[in-house]
Amino acid sequence: MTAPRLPHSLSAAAALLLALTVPLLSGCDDESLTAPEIQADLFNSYVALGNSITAGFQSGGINSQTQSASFAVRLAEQMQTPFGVPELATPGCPPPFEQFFNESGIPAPQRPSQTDSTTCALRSEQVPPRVNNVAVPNAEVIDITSNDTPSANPLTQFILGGQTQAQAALAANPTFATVWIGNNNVLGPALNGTANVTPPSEFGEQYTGMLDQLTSGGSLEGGVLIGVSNVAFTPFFSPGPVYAALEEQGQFPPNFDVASSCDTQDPGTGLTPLVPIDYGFGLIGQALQNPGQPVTLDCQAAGTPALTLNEVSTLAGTVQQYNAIIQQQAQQRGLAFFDPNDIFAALYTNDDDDPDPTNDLIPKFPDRDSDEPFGPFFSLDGIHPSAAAHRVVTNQLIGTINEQYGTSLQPIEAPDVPQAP
Amino acid sequence: MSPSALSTWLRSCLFAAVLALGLSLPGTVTAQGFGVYEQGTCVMARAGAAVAQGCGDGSSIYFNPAHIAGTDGVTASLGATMIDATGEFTYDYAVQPPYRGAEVDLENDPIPVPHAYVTYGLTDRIGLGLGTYVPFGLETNWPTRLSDGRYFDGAFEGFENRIQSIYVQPTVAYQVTPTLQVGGGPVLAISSVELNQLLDLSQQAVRNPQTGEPVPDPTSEAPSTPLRFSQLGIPFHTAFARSSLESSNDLGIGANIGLSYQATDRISFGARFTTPITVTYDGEADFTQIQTGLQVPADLTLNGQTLVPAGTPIDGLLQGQFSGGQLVSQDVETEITFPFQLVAGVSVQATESVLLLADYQLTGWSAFDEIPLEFETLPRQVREENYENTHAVRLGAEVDLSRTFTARLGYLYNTAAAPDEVVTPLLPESDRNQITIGFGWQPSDRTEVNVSYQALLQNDRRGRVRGALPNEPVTTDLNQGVYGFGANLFGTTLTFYL
Repeated sequence: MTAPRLPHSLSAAAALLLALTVPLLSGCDDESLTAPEIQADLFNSYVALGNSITAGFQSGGINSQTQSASFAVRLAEQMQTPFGVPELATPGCPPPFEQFFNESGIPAPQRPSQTDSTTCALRSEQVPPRVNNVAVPNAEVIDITSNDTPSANPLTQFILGGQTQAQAALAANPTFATVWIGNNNVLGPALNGTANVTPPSEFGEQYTGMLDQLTSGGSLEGGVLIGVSNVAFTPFFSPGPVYAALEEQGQFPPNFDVASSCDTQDPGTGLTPLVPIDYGFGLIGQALQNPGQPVTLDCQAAGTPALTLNEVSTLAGTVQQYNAIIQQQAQQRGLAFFDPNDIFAALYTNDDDDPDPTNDLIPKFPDRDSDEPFGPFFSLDGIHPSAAAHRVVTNQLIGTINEQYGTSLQPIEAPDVPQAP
Repeated sequence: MSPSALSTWLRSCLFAAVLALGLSLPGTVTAQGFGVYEQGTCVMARAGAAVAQGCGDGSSIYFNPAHIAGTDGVTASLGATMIDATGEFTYDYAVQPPYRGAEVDLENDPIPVPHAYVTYGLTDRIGLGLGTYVPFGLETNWPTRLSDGRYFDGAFEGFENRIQSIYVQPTVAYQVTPTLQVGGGPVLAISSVELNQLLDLSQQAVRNPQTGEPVPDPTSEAPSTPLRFSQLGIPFHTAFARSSLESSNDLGIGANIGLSYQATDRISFGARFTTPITVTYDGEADFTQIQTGLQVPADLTLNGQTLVPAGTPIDGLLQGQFSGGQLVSQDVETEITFPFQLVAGVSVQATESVLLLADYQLTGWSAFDEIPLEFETLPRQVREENYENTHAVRLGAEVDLSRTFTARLGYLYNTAAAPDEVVTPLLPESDRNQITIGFGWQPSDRTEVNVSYQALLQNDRRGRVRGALPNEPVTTDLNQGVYGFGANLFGTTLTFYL
């Protein structure tokens, strides 16, 4: 140590302090290392909840190809946000149909060789760090928050791995969600030929509880609640009057009769009895196999899969009540609402001035000679939307989201569709 | 050397060694990679700039052994640096508050890092010394669960990680000419390592409950491809076990050498080279099962026969792994190379009372390219690190305020060793700016007390909390958020001149 020369030392120290701290002005943050940009902060983490449609189920099966066609995947692409899909390996779980009608025009769904409805090729080896598409085929509203329900199935674990949809969605800390659930609350009874649907009050409780849980994570900033589809718009169901007209045109075997109960229409709503394809074609097949035995399609008979006009009216009314509930929830929670029936009604009612019911955008009767017997907007099972329909839905949702949230998601390439009636 | 002086020196050496070995305290990262440069409070206050001119407290055994030459009598120093580190990982989706569970805080307690040195001037030209210090240390404690109860992704990379390496260095230095000093000594590295992490069920092979053999993937054309639990829908990062790999007091050998040249009355130059030291660890791996409560979703068949029926509890399927399978406690061997350090610097006696110092340091972190794990039963695993050599610039100043008081300041900048794609919970480091300040007080000719403070300001850096999946390259695409890190360091050293 040296003798003190304090004033000089202090000034030197001050100069040194200045010199040594100047380098700190170079800053402590590197902007180049910030998170990659996505379309908007709103879409930081997008999750899709729902049923087979959102999951990407098509043509009676599901695999990574059909999953990638889901509107949810398309939407995530436009959002430019990471989107983990629980890919099911090829050929599928179960594999999708390759054709629906056999050479005789009889419904005989064919899957890839050596596979059947019990085939499951398990999940793809590639496991996404986060699952964003948590939708599970066959799910009803209650299944969003519980796996202990009659509609839970092996795909529930294959997709969710023991979690519920809500839990899996929350694990992704969602900032945005689409929820398209409730179709199976209507479709299931309809396929059984009944209108014994979940009462709207019960539906409302389940739906509200589901949303409460989904928003409990605190991260959700926006979303779209998608309404329940009207089963009448699916080509799996043919209107009773179409059967009557085709019979009149001599399209059916002579011993096949369409009762007058089928050829009715509610003048106020335009609703008609509906005949599921497997039931209608089953009767036609009976007639063909037993030429001498009369076979009658009765749209009023109890205990058959055919939906009577009353049942169709009940189902349609219930769908309206469901959608009113969903829309109300959307309004209360500041979320967007999209009614898919707007677009499906437009496709269904599109008048091409052609009396042939098989070549409508949504055929009223399947075109058995076509590669697309249910038209371009429905897959080979007649119930689930095709990839083209998913594209249409994607653009509809993009419009809804942009309008609600002021975002600028760009539409994708999709078929032209008629305006809603 | 007089008998009493020799006795004092030996006692001091023994005391220092016992101190270092007895206080086997882990370090934490304050220099590049997992280096810890704060091995003396006086030097710490100069931001570590000491290779051209030491502090005279014995710490030159580490910073430049050449400076031991020409010392008088016995000098003994004992001290510690308390490192209080804070850090957090913020997920990308949490860029806007108040998302819960999105920011995960480091849970490190303040850690003392000791140092002890004894030097003895054997002749006018020869100095001897013995030092113990901890130049490499790492401790990162992360929570295993987020605030909402879910597992933290980073816990699958490691949640309680410790690496420490205590160097014990006998030293001899020689005054070659009046202006040139050289010194050096062998280094015995005494090292320990502990790695704890959660194991991910989704990546595990499904095993035949009867034979224990992997079940082949029915969807794969290659028959040897095992079916993995992820293919049964098990989500990524489903914890089914906790692994603990631990090894203590493994040894490595190296050396630390230096030279010092006094160019003029005011200007000196110095350089030091510490060799890389490779330590091979023979430790033990323990595995503890974590219940998942999951079930097999569908029948698993092999050659047309049901191997595992749907509904089978997965925990039961895994249980055998812990009792007689691959996840029993077993030996594990690994190896870590602690990198070389090459330091060169200059000191300038600007005025009678002001000393300026500047050091440049190159550290060979490229030697830390991987952590190989050779298990007794489990297959070999390799954890890719791919560190890069680092550069540091240290600027220090020392001002004698009075006969007994000295003030010191410093600034340090260093680059990061971890490349962009390997910024993980193990070591979430980045480029760093550090400022230091300290004081020395010499109340008598025989004692000196130094205290110092160092603020570590680390640039935020993007990083990841998960490893690469099979067939997935390790790139920055894996980065999911931003690491923040900082530390306050408090040093104290007591020096006796005997």
